[in-house]
Amino acid sequence: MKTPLIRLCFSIAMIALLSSCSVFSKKNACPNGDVVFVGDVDDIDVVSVSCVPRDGVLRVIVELLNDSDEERSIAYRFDWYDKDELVIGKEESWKPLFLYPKEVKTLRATAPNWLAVDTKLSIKQ
Amino acid sequence: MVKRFAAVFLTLVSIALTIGCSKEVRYGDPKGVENVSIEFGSTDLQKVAEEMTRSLLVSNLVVEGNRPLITVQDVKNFTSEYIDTRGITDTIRTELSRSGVVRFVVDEAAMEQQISEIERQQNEEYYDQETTAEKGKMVGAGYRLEGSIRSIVKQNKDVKDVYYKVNLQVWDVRTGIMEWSEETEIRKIRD
Repeated sequence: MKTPLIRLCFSIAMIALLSSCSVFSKKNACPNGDVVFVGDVDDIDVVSVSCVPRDGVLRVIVELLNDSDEERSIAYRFDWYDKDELVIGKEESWKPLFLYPKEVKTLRATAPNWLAVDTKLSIKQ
Repeated sequence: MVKRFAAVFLTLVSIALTIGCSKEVRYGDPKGVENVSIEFGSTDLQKVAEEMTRSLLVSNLVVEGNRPLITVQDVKNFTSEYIDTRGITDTIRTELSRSGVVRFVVDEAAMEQQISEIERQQNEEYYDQETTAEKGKMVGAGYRLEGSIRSIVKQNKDVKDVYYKVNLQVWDVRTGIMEWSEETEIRKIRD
């Protein structure tokens, strides 16, 4: 009798633990919603990627965590894809981003037009 | 003999100097982060243009299919440095034109050329008047885009800190109502 009860408690504890950890996994990800690190980008983690089509235009919200104890300057850019997975328009410029130690920063981006259904975020040092 | 030696020596020295001073030229990424100096640069221009364009794209001004007519006016430069603000509006105009959601009419800067072209076409001797642009057919803009760029510069012997604020607005020409406004901030530090 004791063993099933212990197992049940253990399972519940594991589920609770996994749920709390899932904050650091992708949620509401875009169809692909890829995040690509160009070269070595240490201690920068992707907390979440969310895609929300609003008024027909795709909007993306990405949370990045600077997991180091130092200030970090990185650069990022988005590529946008249509339903045929073709890149839309010209490539974006790399944009600098500053993060304090242990800071979670939210990037908000809007697709260049109504054709975009997916995105890829590139991050580099 | 001494003169000849001196001439050879000088030639060799100049060749060595030329080789020593020449620096390799290479192509770079035009979209890459440029941090050569603290002044307003290409990355700043691209960042501003991109953020402004995307914001305008999802504003109430742009409803699918209405394609409002916009004329571009000056972005006033209130900073202490020279900034080609026309570069900002030109990039925004190009990006928006690419999206196809708005149209642009001739602005003040291009008006002279536009009038000149229309007048040139009035020459019956050279142009088939059936195909030429008539006077009085240009369309007025429903909206005008204008803005400003300002900076705050702080400096001591070790650090220079420059804060830029770019603000753009779109105004309804007929009613005078501001239909859209957006602000972009940039901070650059050199230490």
